[in-house]
Amino acid sequence: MRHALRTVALVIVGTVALQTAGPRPPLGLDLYRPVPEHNILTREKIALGRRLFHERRLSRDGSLSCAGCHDPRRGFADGRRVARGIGGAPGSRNVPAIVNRAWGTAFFWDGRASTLEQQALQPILSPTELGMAPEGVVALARSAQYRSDFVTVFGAEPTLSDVARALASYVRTIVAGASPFDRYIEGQRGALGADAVRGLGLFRGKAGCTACHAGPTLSDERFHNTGVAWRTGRLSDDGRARVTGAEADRGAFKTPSLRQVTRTAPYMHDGSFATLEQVIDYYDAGGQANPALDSRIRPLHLSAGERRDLLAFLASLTGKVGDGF
Amino acid sequence: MKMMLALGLSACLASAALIAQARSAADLYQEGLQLEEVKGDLQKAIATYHSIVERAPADRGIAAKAQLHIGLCYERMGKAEASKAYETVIREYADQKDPAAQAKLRLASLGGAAAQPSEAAVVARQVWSGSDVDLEGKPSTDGRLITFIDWTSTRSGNVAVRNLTTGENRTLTHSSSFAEGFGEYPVLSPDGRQVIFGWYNDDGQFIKVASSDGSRSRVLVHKPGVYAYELAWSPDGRQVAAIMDNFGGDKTSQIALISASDGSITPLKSMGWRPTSLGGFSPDGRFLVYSVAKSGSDTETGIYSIAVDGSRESVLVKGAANDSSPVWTPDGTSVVFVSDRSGTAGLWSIRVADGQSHGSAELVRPNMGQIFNMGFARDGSYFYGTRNDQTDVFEAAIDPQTLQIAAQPAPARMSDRFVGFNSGPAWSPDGRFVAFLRGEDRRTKSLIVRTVADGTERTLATKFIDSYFAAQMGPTWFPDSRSMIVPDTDAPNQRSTFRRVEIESGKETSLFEARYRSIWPLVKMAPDGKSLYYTTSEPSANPEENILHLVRRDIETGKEIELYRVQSGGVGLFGLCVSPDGTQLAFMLNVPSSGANRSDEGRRVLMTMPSSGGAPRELYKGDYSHPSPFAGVWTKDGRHVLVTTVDTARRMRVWAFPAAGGEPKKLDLTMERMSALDLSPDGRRLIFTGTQTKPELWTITNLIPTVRTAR
Repeated sequence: MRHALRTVALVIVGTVALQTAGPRPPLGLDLYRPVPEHNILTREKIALGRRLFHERRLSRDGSLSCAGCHDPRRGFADGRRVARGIGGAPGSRNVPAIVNRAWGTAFFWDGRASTLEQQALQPILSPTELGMAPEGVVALARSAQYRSDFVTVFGAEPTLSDVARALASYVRTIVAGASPFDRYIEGQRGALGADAVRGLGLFRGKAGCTACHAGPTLSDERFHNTGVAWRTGRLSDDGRARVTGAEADRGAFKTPSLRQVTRTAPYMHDGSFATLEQVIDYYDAGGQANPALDSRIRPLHLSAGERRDLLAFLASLTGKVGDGF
Repeated sequence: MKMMLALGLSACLASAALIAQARSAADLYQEGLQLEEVKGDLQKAIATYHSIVERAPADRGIAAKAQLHIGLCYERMGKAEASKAYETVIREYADQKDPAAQAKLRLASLGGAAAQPSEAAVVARQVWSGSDVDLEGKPSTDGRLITFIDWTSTRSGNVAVRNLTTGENRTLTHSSSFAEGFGEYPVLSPDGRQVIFGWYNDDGQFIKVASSDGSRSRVLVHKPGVYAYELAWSPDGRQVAAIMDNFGGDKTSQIALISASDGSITPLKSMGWRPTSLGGFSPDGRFLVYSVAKSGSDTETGIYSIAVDGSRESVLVKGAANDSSPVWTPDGTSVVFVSDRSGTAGLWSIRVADGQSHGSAELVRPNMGQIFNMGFARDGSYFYGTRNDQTDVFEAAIDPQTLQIAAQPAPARMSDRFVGFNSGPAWSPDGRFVAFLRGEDRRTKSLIVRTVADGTERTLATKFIDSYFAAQMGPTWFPDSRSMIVPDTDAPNQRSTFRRVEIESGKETSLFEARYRSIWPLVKMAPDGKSLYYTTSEPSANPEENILHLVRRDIETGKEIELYRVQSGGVGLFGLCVSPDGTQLAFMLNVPSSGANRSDEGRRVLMTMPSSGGAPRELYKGDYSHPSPFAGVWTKDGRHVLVTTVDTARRMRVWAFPAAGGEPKKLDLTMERMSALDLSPDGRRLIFTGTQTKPELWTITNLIPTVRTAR
């Protein structure tokens, strides 16, 4: 009897913890997973969000779901240079890999959303992406296939914001960690080869990568002008300045996470680099000069061996990806 | 058979009693302390102290202390016999000043405790003062002990525990040099049986746990490249929270939880590069409180609570004020923190329930100044420390022939204006002026020119972006004594600027600029005023393997010539200075002892070399730890080089090294944080920056009358 009571108590405690924090993150990520109080994590809500994430009826022509671009098999990116919307319409920016976004503080390449709840509906309602009307999204949520699930999770008739909350909850559970790098940091010195260890030294030192790619998500969640938008000699994308209007933000983009980086090619906000070798060569050359180039971008003078070492280290950032429970 | 066993047992007991009688009172006293403070067996401790009082009445010093401890034990047990024991000390051992004074204090304290909380007055009491005070530790839960780092007895810092009632210290580590290691952030476990602390030596930092009697210790965590600080025990003693820097290899910070049994680490929250201060666990162990200080463009400053299970986080206080150093009250209903929201630094509190704030912050005690917020004991006594640092320009008379520091006049502050905020003196070549920096804040420091003859002082209009290096090393005079060079640094924009300032007109011109971090903002000038000498740095993938270049710069043409290069080993050239005739340079280098070239302790070598370039000459090699990188000067006759080095862990001393070689001479001049040595042109007056500290530990009883004491 006492054992049974204890088991019940443990289940209750576990359920309460789950409602606020979700499943325990993998090695390398913080135990504290930021979850807004108005949208706590529950098992049912995450399952609903997962269904919606793969729901093609959330696109106007029924051809695309969120997963159509954020493909779980490709590190939750799509492998294309720039995004493709309904009807194959090309977007202007590369699809970011949406792993570990629970720890993010800025969303989209230009940071126009500051929470996952703000972010979730924008691609669905964008005419060049999934092209849905708000009424269509609400109608789907109130359809026979979804209504009871929404009522169970939110306790009321589904609304547009409930769709956003469910999707955001699911995305918060998409995590990548337990990479060889994480195991090395944990103390397993054999987890990295000698080349990757040298690469880590370069990453932290001579190459200065940690100036932006820092913390467990390997992103400072800030915006930097690395010159990529100026490579044609003129500014091809205002970047962060579209949001702030500030001259200093012209051509600045959010630092992407380097988690799973070997599986998220092509690279940069415009997908203009097909390989990590090209990315390393670009930074080695000091980026592209422009009026607002980040002062930390400078020629690195890496040797061929150092470039190989850096590449080996970047490869060590690919670990296990999980979602939901 | 039973009879035989009983006889044997009796014989053993009798032998034990004889052995006990043979032991000295001092040994028994130590045994009593062990029982009382380490094992917590108060009954046995009382019995031991009684046996001392009875058997060694002639040894009144020990007997008085034993009688005092009888009272302390009873007091911890909450028994009325405590008062009687203290009264016995006061009555029977009035000739034993310390125990008698302590007994009076405790007796008064017991009287206060009997009063009703509503009637109790707020009483602030200084519990420790003097040069041995260290404020890096925390009080024990019962408020009787405090952990600290003993910087005074050796040339390193050892972890120690002080009994605040008796004034007795117990040292738990036994390092004699920085190379062996020094302690940091010691904290007693909630049951008082263990102390956790950081231990730093050439192999990096170790988190260690020692028994509070110092008999054993173990390494809990050692992760190369990781530096943990602000350690805090969970109330059940199973976990330790810490701020861990460089966790993940990127030099960012994390709040982490460390298992006290196996040292496994769980990162709780990443803080990026934001400066974070950890305030410890809530009394129920469910939350941690921390503060984030202002830095750069960060706006996410304030005081936060975070659930230890990672489930949530709450803002307790946020705003434009500087809020820092949060601690929990013992009943867990409030968090007390330091804030300047009233204009000056005071103590504020915010009510907290279930990790969330309720209401707005309330002023607890205004105008506390720069304090160390050390937290509460279980009975509600609040502990804080003050350092009372005063950094000033000092002047000492020195015999230019013998280098004896004159006893009269004794070394004294040069200026009595803005005492505590003057630094970086430099004597003009004509002997008429001493220039130095004055002010509290790096940005608002002023450049002062003092006329030596009459003591008048003039403030120049020079503005600094960051005057740190100028204040540390002082200005550099041109030979005509009409202008000088002052360095300024602009770290956010990665610039170091060297400006020439005319002392009559105040006119400023930029001499040259360089990338911050690639130049060490310490310049020395050739006596003819045509060249400058300084160090530049060539970054390496491993910062500890940077290449340092000693260069000469032609002031007119800006042309640089490398004179010498060396791998830095994480440190620079110390005490660079130019001989009076301008032909020689002197500086001190770090000498790697193991090839790792990363020791900041090891041995040092004093080098001289021609200022025109050429092979350096090793003048002296020895264990002169931590010479100040800002202090080195040739005597005016060119026979000696004066350099400051560590004397004890806290104090520095001036040494004179013969320029022609030979044994160095220890000068009778020590002070804390000595830097910026300079001599008057006649060589008879030595000026320097020095710091005098008067650290104190205070408690306030009944600081927050509404706070219930913890059980």
